[in-house]
Amino acid sequence: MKHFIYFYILLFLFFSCKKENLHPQWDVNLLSPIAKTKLTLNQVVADSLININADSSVSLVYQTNLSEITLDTIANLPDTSITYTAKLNSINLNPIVINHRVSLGDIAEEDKRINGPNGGLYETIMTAHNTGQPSTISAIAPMNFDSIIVDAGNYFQSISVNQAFIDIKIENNLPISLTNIIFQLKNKNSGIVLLTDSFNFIPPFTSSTRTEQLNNITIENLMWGTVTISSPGTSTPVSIDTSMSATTTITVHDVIIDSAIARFPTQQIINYDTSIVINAPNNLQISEAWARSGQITIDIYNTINETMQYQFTVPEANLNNVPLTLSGTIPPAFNGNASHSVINKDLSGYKINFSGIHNDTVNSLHYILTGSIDSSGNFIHLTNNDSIYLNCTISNLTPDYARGYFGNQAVTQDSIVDFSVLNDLQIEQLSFNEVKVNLTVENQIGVQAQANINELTSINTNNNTSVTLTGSALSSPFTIQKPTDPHSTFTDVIPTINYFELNKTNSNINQLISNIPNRFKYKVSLNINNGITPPTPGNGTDFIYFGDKVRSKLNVEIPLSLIAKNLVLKDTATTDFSNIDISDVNGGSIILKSVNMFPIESSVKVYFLNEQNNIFDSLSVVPIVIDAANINQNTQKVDVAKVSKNIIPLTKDKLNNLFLCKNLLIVATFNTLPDNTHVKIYSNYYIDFKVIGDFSYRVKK
Amino acid sequence: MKKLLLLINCFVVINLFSQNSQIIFPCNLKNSDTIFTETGSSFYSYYGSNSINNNFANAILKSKLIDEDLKNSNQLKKNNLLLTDLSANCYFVHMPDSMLGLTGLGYRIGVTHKQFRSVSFSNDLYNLIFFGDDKFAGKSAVFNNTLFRSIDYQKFEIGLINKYSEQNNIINIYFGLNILKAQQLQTLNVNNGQFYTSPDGDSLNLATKFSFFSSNQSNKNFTNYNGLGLSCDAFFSITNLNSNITVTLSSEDLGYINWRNKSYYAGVDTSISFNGVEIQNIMNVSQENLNGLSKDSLMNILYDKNDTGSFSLSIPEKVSLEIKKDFKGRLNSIILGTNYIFDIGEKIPQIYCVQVFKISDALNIGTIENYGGASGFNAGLLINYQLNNNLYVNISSANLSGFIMSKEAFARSVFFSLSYKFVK
Repeated sequence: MKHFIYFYILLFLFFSCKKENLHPQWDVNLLSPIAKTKLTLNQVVADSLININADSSVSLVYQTNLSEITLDTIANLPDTSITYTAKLNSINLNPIVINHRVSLGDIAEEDKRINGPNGGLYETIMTAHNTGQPSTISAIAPMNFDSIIVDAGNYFQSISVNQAFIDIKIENNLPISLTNIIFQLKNKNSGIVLLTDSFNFIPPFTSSTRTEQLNNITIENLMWGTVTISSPGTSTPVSIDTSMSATTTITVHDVIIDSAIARFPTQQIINYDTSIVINAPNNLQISEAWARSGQITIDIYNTINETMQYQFTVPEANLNNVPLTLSGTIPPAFNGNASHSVINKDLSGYKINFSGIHNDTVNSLHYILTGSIDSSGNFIHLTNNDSIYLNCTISNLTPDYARGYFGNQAVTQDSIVDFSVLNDLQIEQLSFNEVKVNLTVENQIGVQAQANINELTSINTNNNTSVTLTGSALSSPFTIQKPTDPHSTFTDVIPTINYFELNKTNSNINQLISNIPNRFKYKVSLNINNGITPPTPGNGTDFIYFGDKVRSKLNVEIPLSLIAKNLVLKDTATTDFSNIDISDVNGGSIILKSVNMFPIESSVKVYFLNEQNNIFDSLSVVPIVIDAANINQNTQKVDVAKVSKNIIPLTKDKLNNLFLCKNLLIVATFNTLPDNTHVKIYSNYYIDFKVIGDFSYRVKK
Repeated sequence: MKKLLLLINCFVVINLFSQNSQIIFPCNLKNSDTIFTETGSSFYSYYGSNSINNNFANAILKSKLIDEDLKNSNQLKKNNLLLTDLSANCYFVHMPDSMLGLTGLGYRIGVTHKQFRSVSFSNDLYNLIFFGDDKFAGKSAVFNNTLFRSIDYQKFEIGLINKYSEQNNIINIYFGLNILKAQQLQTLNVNNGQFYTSPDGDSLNLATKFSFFSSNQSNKNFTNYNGLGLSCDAFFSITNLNSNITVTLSSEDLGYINWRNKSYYAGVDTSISFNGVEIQNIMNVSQENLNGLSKDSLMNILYDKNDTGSFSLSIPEKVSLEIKKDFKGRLNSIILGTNYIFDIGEKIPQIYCVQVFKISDALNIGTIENYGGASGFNAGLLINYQLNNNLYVNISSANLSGFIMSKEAFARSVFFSLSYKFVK
């Protein structure tokens, strides 16, 4: 019995395990939408290029930069140098003072020497001195005092003077008049008489001075002096003291030295408080500049064997209210070689006033230069070749801001710029109506100017054609207004916007645009301060900030009111059908249904490109035609869209080619309708596309 | 010989009870045996349609290419039906001399595998599926009241047989209770369905309201368990010995299956339009995401994880009524019967007539005519052969034309049964 049970179970399982594994196949005809899209002007042309007018018509707008004029074109501050040389003749010696005293006692002794001690002047003087009794003095014959040593060794060893002055002062404190006083000074070694001078009469208890000039003479530190005096005596008894004397004071001063071996005292040898003029080009008048960058360099050479202190100050250049000051020490020359010192200072941040010393001029930099030598107390040999040479240079001064009057100068810019609105067009005829072109000048630089269009040429490199601007626009300058100075580097200058329109009245601009250019060649000139009366120095209000520019731009507005005949647009679209399996598609057709609001008829051909971008097949033999919508003659607008239906047969082979191709080349030819009539394009125009598949498809369960 | 019989028993199923009937009886009632033991098995396979011919059905079943001629060969009706029914059964019956102190009482145990498919569909749906929507340009393909059912389950049967005589009548009663093991289910009931194709083909619109039940389709093999059910079979037969008329009434598979938690059900009332993949910028197609209406997006409408769970559904029930008149002579019996399957909404029940001719004591050959149900008129043959005192073989096909003239026939069935009965 159990065998039956086992067999029944097997039987049961056999029939129960019967599986359904059905894979029948059959072909069906499918009619199905595949894709849809809406083509508007915004998808063909970038939004930035489209402008919707008040009547909803569309204009293409395009702006391209032409030129930019920056700071260094207008306000260029040249490098400036101040040079100063201090020579020997600038160096002073202290006045040399030598005294010599002849007393009454000396006179008595001299008389004793000449005439003996008795019965003469000696006895008279001595008796009167000793007794204290006034006495008369008889006339004194010329009495010569020589071998007076004049020692200037404390001052110099020798001096070759170009010029010097000697003051001889005789102070008569004797009770008798002195007459026929003869004074002589000569070098001890060379015996050269330096000077001889005389005094005719010096009353008692008075003084007399004579000044003599020495020229081109060498003075030795040791000199001999000779004094000859006479006196008429006195008939009136006078009190006599042998200490009574006549003093001779010799002062040598205002020495202009050719060469000297001398001790020079500490003295200021350079002292300049003056200004230097900046040689700004183009009649530039700078009143003020704030340095963005720049450098001041002081270069000093010293051939003097003394240390020199120097200081260069620009009182009108301030950083945080601290004037620009450079100072330093230059060591003495050594072994005949000049010492050299260089000092630099960064001018960044300095506000510099170029109004001069009295704040009443321009381009003038006030500065104070001082230099002094320290006295070492040593004898220094100097010649008139020795000097202190100083060169102060302000270089690479780039202002953050400059103010003044920028003169009347012309700046010209010319170049070629790309124009990419109407690229890649093949066209038999394209005509635009009412094209407007503006030249816009945005001015951030604080000047008023007159701008001129000297040349404007549209260039089509595809067709090798060019059209040059003609008309009154070329001879019509327009004014560029000056912006407002914010007086701060932290606030941007709001530029003035200045327009000049090119239209069909003042030019042939329509023809330029209808040439379908891909480039523009231009030449624009700016005449700064043209016709402006120069202000009084220091009152200029022109200004410029670093980085600010005068920008000129070309703005093109092309109202889409056009005639197009056989306007060809080409585009290559990359395809990627790798994820789509069409093995079960037997073939059929694609239906392209279009609803067109544009009054433009188009004929489209689609080519299949292989990896080498060569054409190996096309979507259809005949072009796909999209009919133009009709324009309402009253409103000149399209009211009703035009429906077109294109049936494109696709065999299995063509379908395979379509899905194998790497790229699609789409060539579309457009014609506006009606012929030879400008049609306006409105913003609400569109084309609706629907792609419908009508295919035979193999169903496989 | 016993071994051969046993082997045959493995591969052939016996129609036990009344070998000439279209009803599957619980056991062989020949000779009115009251004490016996019987074992057997049966196999029944039926395909029928009122519009789809056998040629077409064969092409589907054999995964062939269905060409245009084949598609056009069907005779579509306003309401098309298609039904396949397969069952394989083996059983054991024991009628002892007494059971539970009662005579004429016995029991039956058995196992049956059932595989049922039924479809009710409209012309438009057929044309849409097999011809495409091209011919519906500007029109709607309507497929309201579309029904599809596919159900597999196994029955573990246990029942009681009561056989007794009363006056001149022999009465056989069987009542069986079945435990159902659910294997797989897919049921689609489309209340409303329209698929519109615009005249130019630039838009498609699907509006539909349907309910859908499905077991876990990743788990649908014979050995997979997807739910449990209960059904009952009932059988009543009364034979009047005087008139030799037997009236039989049976009900098979009145019950339901509870499909378990990973099953899916959905009620969908939706409208979907497709106008093509929208390309935002035709000038830059390569950057576009061109995934339009995809299969996944459609299936997402159907499959929502929130709608998984268990549900209970009734299983197809078959009710039969048969009247048989026995004769003495070459014409052995005439049977007139009807059966109806509660499933796809057959318009009329199947009505059949069987004429059985006695060729010999062991061999009966009969003719079968039937009409209705899921198909039209069909004719068939049956062969009933008693190999020996114990072994009975029955082979029949109520739709023999389906094998001979498959292009013209719209039904096909085969029925095998083998029983081995030994009487004490």
